[in-house]
Amino acid sequence: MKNNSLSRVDICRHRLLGLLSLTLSLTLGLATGCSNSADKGDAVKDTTIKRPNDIGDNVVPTDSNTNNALGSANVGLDIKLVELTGPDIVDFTYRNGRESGNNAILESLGGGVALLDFDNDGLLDIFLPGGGTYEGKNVRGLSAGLFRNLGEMKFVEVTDLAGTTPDGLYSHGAQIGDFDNDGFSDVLVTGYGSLQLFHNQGDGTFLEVHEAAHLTSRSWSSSAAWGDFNGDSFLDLYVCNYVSWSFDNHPTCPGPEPGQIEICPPKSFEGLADTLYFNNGDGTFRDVSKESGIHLEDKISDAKGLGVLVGDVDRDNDVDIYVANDTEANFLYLNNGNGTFKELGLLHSVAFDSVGGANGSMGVDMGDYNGDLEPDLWVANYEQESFALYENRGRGRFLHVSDKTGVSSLGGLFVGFGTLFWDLDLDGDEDLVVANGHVIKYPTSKRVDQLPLLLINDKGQRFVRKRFDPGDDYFGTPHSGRGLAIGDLDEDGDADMVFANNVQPAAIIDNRTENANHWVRVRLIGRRGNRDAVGAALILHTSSGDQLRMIKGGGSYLSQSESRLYWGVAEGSTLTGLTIIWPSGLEQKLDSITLDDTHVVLEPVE
Amino acid sequence: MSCWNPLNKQTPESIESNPMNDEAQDTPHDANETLDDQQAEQQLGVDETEDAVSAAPATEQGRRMVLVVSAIALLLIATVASLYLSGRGALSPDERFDLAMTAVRDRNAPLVVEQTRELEQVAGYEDKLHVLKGYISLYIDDFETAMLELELAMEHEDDAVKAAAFALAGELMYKLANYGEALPLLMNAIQLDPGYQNAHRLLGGLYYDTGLMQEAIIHLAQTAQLAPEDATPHRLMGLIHKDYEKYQDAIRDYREALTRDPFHTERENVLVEMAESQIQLLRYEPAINTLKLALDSAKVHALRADCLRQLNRLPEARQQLELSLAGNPTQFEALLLKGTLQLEDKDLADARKTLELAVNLFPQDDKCRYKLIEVYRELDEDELVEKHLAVYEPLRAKRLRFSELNVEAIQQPDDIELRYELGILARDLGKRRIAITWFQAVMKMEPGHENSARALQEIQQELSQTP
Repeated sequence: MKNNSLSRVDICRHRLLGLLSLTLSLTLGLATGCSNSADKGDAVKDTTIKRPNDIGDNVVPTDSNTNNALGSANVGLDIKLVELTGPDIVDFTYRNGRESGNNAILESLGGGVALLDFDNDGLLDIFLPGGGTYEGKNVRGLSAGLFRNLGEMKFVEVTDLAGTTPDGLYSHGAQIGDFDNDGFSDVLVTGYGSLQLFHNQGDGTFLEVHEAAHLTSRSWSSSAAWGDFNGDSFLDLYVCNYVSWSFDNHPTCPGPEPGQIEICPPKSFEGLADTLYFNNGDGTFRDVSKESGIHLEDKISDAKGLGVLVGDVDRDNDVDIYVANDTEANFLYLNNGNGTFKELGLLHSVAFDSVGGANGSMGVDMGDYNGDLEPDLWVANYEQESFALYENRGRGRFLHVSDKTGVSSLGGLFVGFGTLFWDLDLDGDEDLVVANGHVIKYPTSKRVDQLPLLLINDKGQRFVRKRFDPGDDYFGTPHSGRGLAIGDLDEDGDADMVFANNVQPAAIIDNRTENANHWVRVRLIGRRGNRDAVGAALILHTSSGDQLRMIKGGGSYLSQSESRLYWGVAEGSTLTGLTIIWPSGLEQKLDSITLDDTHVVLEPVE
Repeated sequence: MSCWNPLNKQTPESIESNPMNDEAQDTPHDANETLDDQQAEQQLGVDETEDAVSAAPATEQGRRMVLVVSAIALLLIATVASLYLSGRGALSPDERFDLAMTAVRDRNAPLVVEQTRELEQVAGYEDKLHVLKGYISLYIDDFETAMLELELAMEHEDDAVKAAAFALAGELMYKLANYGEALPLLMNAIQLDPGYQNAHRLLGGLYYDTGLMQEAIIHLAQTAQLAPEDATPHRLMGLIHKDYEKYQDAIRDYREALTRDPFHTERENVLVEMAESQIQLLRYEPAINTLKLALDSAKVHALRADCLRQLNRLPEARQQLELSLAGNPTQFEALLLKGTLQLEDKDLADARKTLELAVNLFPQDDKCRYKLIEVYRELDEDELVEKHLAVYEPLRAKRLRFSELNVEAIQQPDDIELRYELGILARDLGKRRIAITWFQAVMKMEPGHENSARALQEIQQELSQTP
């Protein structure tokens, strides 16, 4: 058996090695320490290895003004927006039935808001769809809210008096249109499994007539838009339908943690075809989806419409349709001039983002961001997707310019819904407002409630996010934003806002911006074409340039703004006239346009 | 998919930037992601904390300091060890065996050999030596002897010995690409010893190679926990998360990898991939900060250009673009960006030239073709628009299908035909190396899969003919 111990030679060897090592260590240590002292004088010697999270200021610092994700405190300084509260303000909350624990995708859409002067007293009233709930496996509606404007930002609920209590519709959106051209605004309500059409009786009340009007769709409708597509001077109706959810088609989607149930994404369902109704002119409608070219067999499953806008995007004096689809290509239906359409979204570069990716598109609007008199398109998208600004290059052909205009640098945390172009600071270019809020219960950002956005247009080149401090009134507080409508509620010449939030109170924002700029406001009344003049294009001529505005159908998300058109005119600019291109094709020029005034223009009949 | 060798945790093979590239859009409403809370707070309006960048630049002076400190530390350790050994005296057989087993786990072959030699002199230790001898044989690639020894070791009553034997046997089978045999052996090892780091590491690699990413992540995460100084598991998890568009998770993993080892051999790849993930989340400020730490290359210049453009620093963006194309005139991201800028500026003739070049170089990429279609449309070249649309739409459909199937593959771990279809799609999309990994995954699951074998052969022939 061999000796298991170390030999004496081994032990000596180890001890010698140890002593030598010790000597070398000490020598090296002294030498290093001396040299460092010589190099740095009295400076504290930092011998730690820089670990990545210590980098801090050693990285090239960020210029906060270029960081659009955070917003800039240096833009829109004069814009002042104040949320109104109190007993005379609208007290209304959209409900979605989430307390039932069904976790249905139905609950994620939320509700919109529509502004109308239902009693023609010159003040904008507010209509809010009420949403719904469940009775077991049955979907039930909740009452809408109609609030009459008493002036000076005071409102009173008149829902029951006006007869706008719905008959069981789980509602989402509201669209205002005078479908019978009688001078009184009617209300279309969309929702799960039906539509509602409230015909304004002209005496302050409404009669629900969807059955009589043959608007008998049983689909799940989201946004809708009025427009005279066939040029017969009666408003027709485009209705977006969403996805094929029902309790018979109600998958369970897991959340990020065990035991959590999440709301299923739209990809879990088939899309539903949209519907186009032509107005027969007698109070009834007919479904023309197939013959108009809207109903595309190979695209039905891709049609998950949430937003729709009607307007003359190619400036050929008819109204076209742009549909924002959720997670699928958006549709651009260009009107052939006779109420038939060709879908050209891909060809005209408005179907996808800048590199051909489909987005989760919800809110939509049209405006001339760069002042070239061509209407551009704007889409509010899902998180991790840039909102889309499509610049109109003429003839209804577009280019995605979110990167160029700073929109992409907002970052990817927002889920955008109601959205509108509006010149909030009256400097002559259109800014953007977006209502944000997540759709699922357990988002990765851990933020269901999100801040609304105010994007200031920087001379038609870029959009810069206006920064609000945390808690700074409505825009500094996160919400579960959905619908958004803009209109002058207090008739002081500027744009106020109404936000419809998901299972949160609606909010009225009083615009108290004060600056030296001016405004012009125009209300059109059609007589040869549809009375609401949807499809009209107006160009205000000023000494600092021309500004295009168009009367649109639909837009935003589930919502409708007031029908008057606004322009901001920068201080020092003068007006030289207004050109109106009516839907009928008639071109009218007005020379006597004044600042800070509302102009009501009747369409000439001769 | 064998782009990372779990058998060698110090020097992973170079990893393709996108071994299972999925360039399709995110699936909205995806709830399986995490996001940096502070960044969310900041943008959504609560606190202000910038998304931290995670890599340490190494200045020359810093490197010297590190080397000197390391040398001193080593010498001190040697000193202490020598004195300890000299003062202490002899090791007992059990102590030697424990030392050897630790050396097996630490993959310190010389120490295993040394202790084995000593233990061979000890009577009654023969049973325990099988596992050590198995390791030594495996180390020198004598697989036959290794297996014989390890099989004997697997019968040992000591769980630690059994665990090591199973783990080593699993490693042997992994080296032989016999994944079917490797998996149960490795699973046995971690059943006997849940903290057996190398078994987890090998399982991570095995699952990665067979496209079972969910399982790969589980074992890589375990490896990371057991080896806090090892950056490679996080590096690989980052890659997996990025490929599956879990960009926030990817950023977190990349950051952790660089935190653990700022001078990781894959550092440059990690920085680029991290920046790409940040760009996908539209976080351009953090991305540019990450890219500042990366070495200049055509790709890095191109990514910087994109970020700078988003941040409205156009002159710098154009400069970076020029640098990128000067370094590599066929750099994809640079060509795409250049063509896009030209299109936006209405410089249509040049946009056409740039994007036609991009499409010729990358005919199976749908993004640059989409931009080219836009240019032709602006030029009223209707025939060319139609011609390219006819190519674009099926290509895009394939890309989306590839994206969907990548996700489905996680949920269908046994679906061979799904993986075959992924291989076909990858091939059609011009991602030949990814196609190879999918076909190989199919072959591992079903060695007799003729279609995969044929497709694999064809691609490998193509690659061998490509300069």
